[in-house]
Amino acid sequence: MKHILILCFSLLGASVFIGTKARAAACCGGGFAAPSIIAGDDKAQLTTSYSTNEVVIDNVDSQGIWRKWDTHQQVQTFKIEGAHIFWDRFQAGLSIPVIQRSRDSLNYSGLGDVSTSLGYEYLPDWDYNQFRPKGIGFLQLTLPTGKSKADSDVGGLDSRGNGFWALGMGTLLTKTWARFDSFTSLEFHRSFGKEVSNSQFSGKLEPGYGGNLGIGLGYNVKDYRFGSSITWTYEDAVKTNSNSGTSNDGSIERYATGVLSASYMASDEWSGTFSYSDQTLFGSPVNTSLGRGVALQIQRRWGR
Amino acid sequence: MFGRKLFSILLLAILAGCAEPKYVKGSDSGSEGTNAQESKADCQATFSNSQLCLAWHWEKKPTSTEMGSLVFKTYRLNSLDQTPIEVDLTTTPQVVLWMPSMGHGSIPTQTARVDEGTYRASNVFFIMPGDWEIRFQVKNGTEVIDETHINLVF
Repeated sequence: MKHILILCFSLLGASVFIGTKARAAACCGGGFAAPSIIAGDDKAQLTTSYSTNEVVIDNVDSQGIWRKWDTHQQVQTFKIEGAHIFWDRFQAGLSIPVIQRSRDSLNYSGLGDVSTSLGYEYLPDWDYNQFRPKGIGFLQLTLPTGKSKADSDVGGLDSRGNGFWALGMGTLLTKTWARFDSFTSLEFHRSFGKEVSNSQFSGKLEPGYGGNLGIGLGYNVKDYRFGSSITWTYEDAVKTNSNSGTSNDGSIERYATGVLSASYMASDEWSGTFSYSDQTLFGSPVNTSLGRGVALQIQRRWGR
Repeated sequence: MFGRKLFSILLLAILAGCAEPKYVKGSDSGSEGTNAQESKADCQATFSNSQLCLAWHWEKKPTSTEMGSLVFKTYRLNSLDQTPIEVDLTTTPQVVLWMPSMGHGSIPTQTARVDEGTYRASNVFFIMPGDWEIRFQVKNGTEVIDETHINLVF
């Protein structure tokens, strides 16, 4: 079954709907939020999505050993993302996630890390060149609106994000050949430290750099699109310096998320995407939890 | 032709990047993974300020679904023959479960004094398997004034 899935990921095309890319670590909180970017020729877009994920590998330690229990966390995310061209080739985006995390009878929900982005189309594709991709660069600011796992009094069950201020930049390259399309995205960011004080820890958290690399392919048939993508995620260790004088260097976090998606274009304005994501198939994960999930996304676009 | 070659290279690269999990079953069904075992007299850890010794053992080992409890003793060593003499800490210590690699704790425990230098921590529950620290903290208000910890893989 696993090999069939891997083959499907490899053979099917990718979605250029950036919003379907799952970047949240399954464990507690999550990775850097994906930016909301207009990749097509539209003036504006609004995307709502709902995803449900189950943590299937509860812990991958810093030596890469996988451990699982019989009882797992479930994570549900409702997200609203919008982006708008505001001047020629400039665009601005906003992403607002609401996250619910549960385990057994324990249940927590609230606002995740809100992110804003500023994009610029530095490689336009006005002449539909055969080889040159369309390129969009972006800056992204993540707000610490989601509770981080270190802020948690219940082991991260109530965490809904990294909880750090973070500044990032990246690029998205897209290309279409007949019925095929592809994308490559590269993003890196710097998260900033903060003081934490709760019943279990008082001191300073010092995160570092992180990044995402994504590739994807897509195949279009009439009003349908079948896609797949893989995103590799890396985060520096979060150092902890407690007020009592003890410190810990932590460990880097690394995982890869594969996504299979099927989209239906109801019209030029409306589309829907169903996707399946899996973090157990690719990469060499360390210091994380791994999940599988499904997502449903509805997108409204406004043409130029 | 170029497209086929590129596709083949991409396919190989992706397949080469497939995850190769190294599984360890969780500790629900056995005692695997505990470094500190049931030695009740060994100085398994030493408090940083008072230099008192700590020994501990599971009274009820937690599982993935049930809370457990542990008993720990704090003592000094007799100056003549190094035998343990139980000594109370200045206040009832707090037991914190902490995952250093991920930088988070677990559900709060409750600690009660049972006898001279003898304490029970209940509501011990690890939110996930992996490498954990059990921190024994003596606090003055919110300030930690004395501390020791033991490591275990759960």
